[in-house]
Amino acid sequence: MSKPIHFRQGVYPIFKQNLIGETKGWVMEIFSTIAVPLTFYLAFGLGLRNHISEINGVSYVAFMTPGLIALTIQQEAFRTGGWGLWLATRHHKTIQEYRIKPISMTDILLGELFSGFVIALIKGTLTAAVLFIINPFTLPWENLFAFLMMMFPGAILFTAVGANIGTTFMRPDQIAQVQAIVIIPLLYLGGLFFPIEALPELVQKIVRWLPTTAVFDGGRQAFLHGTLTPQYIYPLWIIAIVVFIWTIYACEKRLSQ
Amino acid sequence: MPVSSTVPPSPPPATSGMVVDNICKSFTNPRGGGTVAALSQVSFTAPMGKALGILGSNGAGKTTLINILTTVIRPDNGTAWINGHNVHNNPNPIREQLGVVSQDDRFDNYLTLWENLSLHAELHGLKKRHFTPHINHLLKQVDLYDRRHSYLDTFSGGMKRKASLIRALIHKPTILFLDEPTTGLDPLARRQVWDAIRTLKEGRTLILTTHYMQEADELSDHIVLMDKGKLIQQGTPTELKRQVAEQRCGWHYQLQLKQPVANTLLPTVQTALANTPGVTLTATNAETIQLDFSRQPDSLEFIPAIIQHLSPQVFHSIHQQLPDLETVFFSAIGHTPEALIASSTPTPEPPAHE
Repeated sequence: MSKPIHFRQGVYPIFKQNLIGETKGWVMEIFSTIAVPLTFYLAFGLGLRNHISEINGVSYVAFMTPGLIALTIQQEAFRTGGWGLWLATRHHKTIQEYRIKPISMTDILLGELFSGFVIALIKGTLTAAVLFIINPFTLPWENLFAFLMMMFPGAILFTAVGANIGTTFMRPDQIAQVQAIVIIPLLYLGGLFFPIEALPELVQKIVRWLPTTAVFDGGRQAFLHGTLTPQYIYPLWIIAIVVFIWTIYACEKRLSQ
Repeated sequence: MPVSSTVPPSPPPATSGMVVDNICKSFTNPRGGGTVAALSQVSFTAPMGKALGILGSNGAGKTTLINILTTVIRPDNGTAWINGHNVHNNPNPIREQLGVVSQDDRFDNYLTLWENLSLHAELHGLKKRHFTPHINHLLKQVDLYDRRHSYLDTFSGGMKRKASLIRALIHKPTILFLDEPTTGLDPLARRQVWDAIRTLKEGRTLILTTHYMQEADELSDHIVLMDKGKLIQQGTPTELKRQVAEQRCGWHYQLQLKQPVANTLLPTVQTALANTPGVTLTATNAETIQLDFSRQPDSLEFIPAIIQHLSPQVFHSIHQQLPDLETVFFSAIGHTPEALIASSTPTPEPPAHE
């Protein structure tokens, strides 16, 4: 009954299973996905819009919107990469079950990471749809490609970072600690709610090196103006690809022990 | 004897079954203080088509051995072959032949049973049109067909274990590993899982690890006893019991009668045993006479002698009283249960694999 083993035989089934799993309880998934960006939108976007006239020539709501979409994508990428792999390794132990199948550890990791990446993009799209419904403006479609060019490497990067954390730590509270100490500052210092230029010069110099700044600030410029800033896009893609490859190698080694 | 400790020096032929050669494995102690030897020079061979029980207490090294044989971890020394394939140099052909039921169920509880099973079929490269009728057939065999669209978190422990068994058999493996398949189950669920194993093991080699002696007795053709990472004894259940019976429990036989005439027949049996010295007779109940030998009988000639002296209307059977496997196990490790409890001291937490 068994047939010859094909290259990357395990990637698609694992990818598909994770996507199916994500659709279970989809109503709660939708609400939990849009809860955070919607709260920020209501609290800051609507709450402050009369106190902040314009930033860089656009309304504060328009300034925030691409950042909120990007925030959803990065958060979901980290959640699916980090918590998803932690659950699969420590709780459901499905990874251990996959390891006795005629597939490689690379297959398993590619399946897990691709599904995390796609789920993050789907949820980002969902957030965008909700924000466009309640916003007075819509996406400039001609800028979509540029915006996605900034979102893809961000999603790859955060899925990979999540996967490293999810396979390194034994306990869930340790992941939560890393999230609080590293991920949250990274996400919120990247110019989500404010222009980078507003920061003190020294801090600005540091913040401009953060990959999240490339995602949020670079993503905003792509979203609003259709421009791809070289100082953001090239380093972001390079970092994302390097971290992704290293993650496959490191997680493979870690999970094989 | 199909299980033996002699191992061929070179890679065995494809029909040789399972060959385990001098396997050693140590783990770093998670609490510090060096390494813990999980397996030490374990060697045995097991032919195809038989049920081999690997028996030992917690920490004996059973799960480590299973993890090595199922290609999950590598040994520090030694190697193993399954049907001529080296377990570690060439794992994928072996994985195609293996079905594994692990201690923990390892299901994605957010998916239904069917979704879980079809995922694992696809991981074996099977097409839906091929695996659907096979899975349905297996589900019907263990009475889970009606629950195929239920989520795993609604299943009882016994149902999950049966589901694990089906998952292990989706790709029709030739070797089925069962790692403590009934741990944590109530007696009824345990019986149900045993029944499922008996139904589904047909035509396969079964490797069963357990610390339930009755389970090993019920399901195994041959048994390997392990303690502290070492193989300490092996044989068929009856062989092992007979060895211990003769070494430690003495020689006891029970004569079973068809009628309640045990006391009346004692002199007749005494006469039949006139040429058999050192035997004491006791009527333990109206239909049973016990024969206790003070030393090993020179031969079993006393059995036909008894049968000759009793009419077929009265004689039912005569059999040697054998100890259970638990007694065999404690005898093999050189302790009584009471002595073990008295001498037990806290031990460091075992490594993750065992």
